[in-house]
Amino acid sequence: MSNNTDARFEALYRAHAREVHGYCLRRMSSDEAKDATSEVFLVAWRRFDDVPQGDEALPWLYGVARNVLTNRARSVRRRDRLAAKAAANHDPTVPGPEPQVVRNEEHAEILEALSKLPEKDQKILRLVEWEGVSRDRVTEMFFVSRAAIDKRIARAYKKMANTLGVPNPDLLTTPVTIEEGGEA
Amino acid sequence: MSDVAQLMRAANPVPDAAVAITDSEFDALLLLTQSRSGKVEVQEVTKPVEPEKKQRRGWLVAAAAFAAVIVVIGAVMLLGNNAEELPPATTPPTTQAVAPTTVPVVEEEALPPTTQASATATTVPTALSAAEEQFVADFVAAFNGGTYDTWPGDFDEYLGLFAANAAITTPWLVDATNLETYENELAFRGAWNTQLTSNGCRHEFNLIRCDMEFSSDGVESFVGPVPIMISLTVEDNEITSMNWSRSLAPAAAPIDLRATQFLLWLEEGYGPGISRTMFIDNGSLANPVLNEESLALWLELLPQYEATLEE
Repeated sequence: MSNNTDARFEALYRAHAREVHGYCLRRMSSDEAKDATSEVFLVAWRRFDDVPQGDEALPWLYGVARNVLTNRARSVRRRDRLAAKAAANHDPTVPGPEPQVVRNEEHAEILEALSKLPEKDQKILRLVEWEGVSRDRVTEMFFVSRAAIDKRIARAYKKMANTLGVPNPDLLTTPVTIEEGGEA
Repeated sequence: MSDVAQLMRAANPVPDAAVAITDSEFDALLLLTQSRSGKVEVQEVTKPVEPEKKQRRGWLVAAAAFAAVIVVIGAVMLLGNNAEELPPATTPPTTQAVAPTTVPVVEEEALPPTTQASATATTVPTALSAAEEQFVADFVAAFNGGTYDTWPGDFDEYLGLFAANAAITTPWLVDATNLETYENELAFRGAWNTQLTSNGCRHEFNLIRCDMEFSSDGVESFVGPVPIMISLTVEDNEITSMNWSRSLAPAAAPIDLRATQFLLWLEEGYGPGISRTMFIDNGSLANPVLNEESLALWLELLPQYEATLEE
């Protein structure tokens, strides 16, 4: 890879790695998040010609991160099975690999409600609310129409409101705000 | 916005990604990624072009030899014509400062960016004094002792070259500051049947720099060879500081990659807690913790991991 490409790759990393790391950290432990971030940028390095320029780069990286995390989730399930077998060697005083989100008990209720949604809805909500990805971008990432995304989000909020006992589910039909990047 | 959306946003476990990772961790992660990607590049790109490079090098040598012959002939002719105008010939000063023990053949691609050739070309290092030459010779002789398990005779001699309060850093001991922790690393490497070989030392300003190479034929998962450069500050015939610079060139990548695989294997089998005992979390996942407790674990678990590679 040429020096010019090296410099462009480093620029890409410095522009977006913190967001990608944040994405990973919201879904896994600190150690794992760092390694996953490195893996995301390793993919970006290998496929550097495919990485879009400008504003589209970060959603592309989020898409790679999503795949990396999916692959890792399989590995974690396998690990959990092995860990159960090796329980005698496990030090219970050391914090486990639970995702960062679970440690935050004051939000446990909302996160539990989130976890009851279909997996795809969870991913969309996290992207929109936590990563701040606009709904238009999410439609590109999930290869669905904007209307479908709006519907999914509205339905997801309604389900969560029911689970949480929040009384104003009608408001959930208001699909987007300006800052989310959609039309009012 | 709905209450649920507000709650959802409030539950964001990382509300500000910009401060979720320190600058040093951020930079370390970039280096780790570059290191990993370098490994890919060297496999896919470098090897196929090697024959062409050697061929081109052959032509360059031939051209240089031809040019040298022309220059010599020209010089002889000039000397024949103007011998009486020239000053008396003197012996040229020695400009290269290379330790007596060398293992010369190293692939060019495997060398770290700063090589002996480039250093001598740009800085014209000072020659080692006789005492320094002897010191470097002692150092290299102790270093080139072959495998660490053959060291018991020379080990004390090697450690005796260091000042008691010497400051030492290596890629695997990023937090090490003293001789004791360095001894831990030596024991650790001893378990790998590691070989360290000098490719030559030179003098630069107040430092002695040695191009070294370490490799292991005992533990597959940590096989090099990996070029490193060791900088020594020597005062009063003692090493007062020692710094290992491992190139992040592709040749260095296998260490990180394979250690990462080992870490994954460990966590799969023994839970995530074990990595906190055996590795330093400083942005790279491949820095082992080296103390008595972790050494015992390394010595016990590494062979088990090795066995899985053979299956």
